[in-house]
Amino acid sequence: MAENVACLIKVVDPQLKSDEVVTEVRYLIEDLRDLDDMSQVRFEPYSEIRDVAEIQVGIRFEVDAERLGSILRRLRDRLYYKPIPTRFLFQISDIQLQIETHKAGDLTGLMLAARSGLLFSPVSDYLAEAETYSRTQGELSPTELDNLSLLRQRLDISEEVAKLLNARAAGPYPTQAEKQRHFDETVRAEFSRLRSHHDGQPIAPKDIWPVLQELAENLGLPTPEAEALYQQHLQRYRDDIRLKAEQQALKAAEDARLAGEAKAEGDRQQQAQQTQAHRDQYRTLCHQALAKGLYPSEFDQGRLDQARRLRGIAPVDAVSIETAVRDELYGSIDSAAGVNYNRLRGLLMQQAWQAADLETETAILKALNQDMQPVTAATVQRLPAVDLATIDALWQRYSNGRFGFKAQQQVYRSQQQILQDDPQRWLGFQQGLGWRDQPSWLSRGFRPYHNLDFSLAAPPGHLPTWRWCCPSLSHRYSPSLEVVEAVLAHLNTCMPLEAVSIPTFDQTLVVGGVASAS
Amino acid sequence: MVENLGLTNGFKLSIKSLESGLDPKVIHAAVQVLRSSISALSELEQTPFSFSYGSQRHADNLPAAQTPGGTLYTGLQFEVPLDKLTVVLRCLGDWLERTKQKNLYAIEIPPTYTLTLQTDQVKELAQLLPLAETLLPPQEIYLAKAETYIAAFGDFTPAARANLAIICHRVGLSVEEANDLNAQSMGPFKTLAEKYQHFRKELLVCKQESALDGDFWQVMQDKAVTMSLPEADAQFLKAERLQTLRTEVSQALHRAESADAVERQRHREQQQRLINYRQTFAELAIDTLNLDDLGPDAAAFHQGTMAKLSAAEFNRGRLTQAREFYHLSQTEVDALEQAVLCELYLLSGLL
Amino acid sequence: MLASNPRSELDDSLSDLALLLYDEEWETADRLTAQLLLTAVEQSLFSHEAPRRPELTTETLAGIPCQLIYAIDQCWQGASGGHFGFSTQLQIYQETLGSAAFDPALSNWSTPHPFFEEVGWLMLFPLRPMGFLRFYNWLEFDLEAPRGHLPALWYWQLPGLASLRMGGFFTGQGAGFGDLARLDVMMLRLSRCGQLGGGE
Repeated sequence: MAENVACLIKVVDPQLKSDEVVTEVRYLIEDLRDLDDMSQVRFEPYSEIRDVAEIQVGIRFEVDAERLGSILRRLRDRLYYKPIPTRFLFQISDIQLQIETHKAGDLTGLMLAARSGLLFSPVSDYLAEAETYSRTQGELSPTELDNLSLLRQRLDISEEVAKLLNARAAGPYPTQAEKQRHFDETVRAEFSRLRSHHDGQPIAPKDIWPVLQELAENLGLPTPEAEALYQQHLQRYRDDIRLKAEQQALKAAEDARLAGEAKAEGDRQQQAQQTQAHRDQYRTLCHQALAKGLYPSEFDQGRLDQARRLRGIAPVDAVSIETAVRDELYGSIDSAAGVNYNRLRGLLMQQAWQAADLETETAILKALNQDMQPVTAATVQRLPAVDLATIDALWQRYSNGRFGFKAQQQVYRSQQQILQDDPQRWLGFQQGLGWRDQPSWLSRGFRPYHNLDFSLAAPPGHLPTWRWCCPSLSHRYSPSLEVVEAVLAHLNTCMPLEAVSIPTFDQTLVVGGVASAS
Repeated sequence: MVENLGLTNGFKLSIKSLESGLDPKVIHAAVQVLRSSISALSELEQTPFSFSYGSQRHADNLPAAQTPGGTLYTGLQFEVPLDKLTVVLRCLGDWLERTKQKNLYAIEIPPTYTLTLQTDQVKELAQLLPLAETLLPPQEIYLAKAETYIAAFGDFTPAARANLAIICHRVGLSVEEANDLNAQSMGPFKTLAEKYQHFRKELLVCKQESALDGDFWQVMQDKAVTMSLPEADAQFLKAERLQTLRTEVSQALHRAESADAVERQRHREQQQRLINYRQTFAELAIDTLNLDDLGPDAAAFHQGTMAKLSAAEFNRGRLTQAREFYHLSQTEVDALEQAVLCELYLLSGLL
Repeated sequence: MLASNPRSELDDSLSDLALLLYDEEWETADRLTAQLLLTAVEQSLFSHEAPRRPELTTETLAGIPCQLIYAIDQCWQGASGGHFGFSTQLQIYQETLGSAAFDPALSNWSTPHPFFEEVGWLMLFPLRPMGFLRFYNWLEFDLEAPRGHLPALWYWQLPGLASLRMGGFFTGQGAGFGDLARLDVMMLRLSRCGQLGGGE
């Protein structure tokens, strides 16, 4: 059943003398004969003409293929101990294998192949069939597996061996689908590598297709199919790169735009800061100039004018800054009625109390805009709160809180808490302010206007007088009770005093006590 | 017959037609087909072929081009790397399946093996494959392939790994052996990134563009070979370094320029301050100028104008503020004022 | 305050006044002045009070339109070169207030307000030093008169009862004591109107 292998072994060492060659051949024959079941093998001498004489340089024999494994092993061992250049020639079916070597290792692969039966039928026939199928289709189809199964039975090969042989023929990825998948995964991995390099540390660009083509060949995938797949991935990769580049360009453009805007904004801010700084410097200069007086000296006016020019401040702005500084230093002169309280402020600064009182009247009557007619209970409510606050603040500021409407309101409140019945209350209020003396049998206690005290020694709230609600002053200074009540009510509306936390029952107690006492 | 192409890891394959009854042109065509199929395989485009000719001529070494018309191929020989054995034999199988011609196939696997087969049967040819594979030195094939990849990419790319895995499977190497061989071919560094890092560091020594040429680069190239960094990557890093050096140079230039610009700007501003003060002063001086004061005496004119100017508190205030604003010293101011007055005097003399 | 129709009447009257003063018809001009003031009082009364005979009392004097006062004063000032007119009287009044230690509360027939003396409204004889004022037709209607002598009728023209109360006998202010309240109201009015800074 097993086929025979024709073998020719020949010593080819040119250094050996003829007799040494003959001796080697003899040893060789002996060695081979020593092997099991080699007794019946016929070793034919193989002779060549050497140095004019024909000498035996090798042997020729035929053995059962199954023997070849052990023969090769013996031959290898011989070379291992004595590395003589030798030529081995094996004829297995139609294949001739020639080995010329003095190295034992060169025989090992063949020996192993022979021992695993790979070299001979039936295994090699089966393997050849499987290889052929695998090569042509890229995988073993069911039909082919059936064919192989039949062949296996015919050649009497065990199922396990057949399975191993199938696997060997088909390679690590036995089916077409698996090969494709493996190839696809590899291509994908290649491109993800390129992507990661593209995103991170760049490397030198290299063509990856040759290695992939090689892979396709190694896998047994048709090159065009593989290339189409590769091109797909390549296209996707290039699209990604382009998209990313576009996004980056967009982002860069956006960043540039934002940076431009930020710069413009920064410039604007810087400009604003510059302008603000200029205004602040001008304001400081104003402070210096106005600290010496309500109006700057001519020298300071020159300084301010030059400063305004140098800092590019519009005249209108310069005026408003100067006004603001003056208000800050000397009190605000805001008015809702368009009245200029500048003169009043100047008079108060000079402590010219009587003139300031007259100016207060003028200002109030102008603010009322009633043809300079004295304020009445009906018209008092038209006095703007802002103007009242300005007047009050100026008087308060320059009298250290002694004069002003608030001081008058305080006096009224203190009187109010003591005296509840109306006429007494008003009398008390006017007496508290020092506007009226205690009535006696001789007089009702009224004082002429010019007898009032226009100095800081006057009682709190004494000034400003309410001459602006009096039609006449010379005879006596006596605002009518009706008007006084209305003015106080209006003042309370415009500039209410902070509430005094006196519980109501306490108040009634106090009032009751006072009432009974009086 | 086949020239030694210097491939130590190659095998020689020769195919010779044994079809005597066939039209020589058919055989010729078949040989051409085979040649182009082999050439189409990866890495084999450049494979040199030599051809055998019909028995009527024995001009073995004459290329086809030099034998016009008459001579037809009857066979061919070529040499390819060992790792291509499987692929090439499969290619032969495909070819035989198409031509169905009888040929003599001889495979020489250096240094010792020669396989010969005469057949027109695909299956018999297929038997050559396992036999030939057993004869291949597995480690050498694997290592050669691995080194090829490293030489090209400096690292094992996924595709290279896939190919090596298949080779590993075919020649029957264990994973450990394969890893050892991988490490051996990779050289002293474990990844391409490390190689890049190291090579970059080496390149940092070079501080000038001109120094990157000649001897230094020769040394660097040798280093690249030693650390298995492919030439392309070395060139890439060189270009990168050159770019950096050029950028540094241009940046340094730019810095120097902007420093210059700052200095110039400062100077300009100083000049501008002087000019501005001069202008303010001139304005005021012209305002107060009285042509009647113009006499032959320039000094008197100066004194008169200055006296008039400083008589007005407002003007004094303006000048004081301008001087403070422009941070000018009294001496500078005096000089400027004198200059302006001189000019004015001259000008008014013309009026 | 003044409707459009009366305004044109007022304008006519003012130009009449200006003409009279230009012709140095001082007395006629003084009468027209008093009449103008009364008309203004009448018009202001008409608007919100029951119609009655207009009088120049402390109440009504305090409400005479500044514009009218200004216009009249302008005429007098212009024609007399500042010798006559409300503002001249106000100036004198304020000067006398400032100079003399005069207490209006203690003022009586024996110590008349220095203002009356300044403007020459006091009886020169035979009752001095009593503080009686002249009869109206005893006033001097020419530029030889003291500063501020005119206009005067606005002050003289009193209702009978008031005249009696002031010591006169239906002769207005004539031969009576000067009514300091009325004088003061008018002067205060003039002063306040003066703050408007001339005409609106």
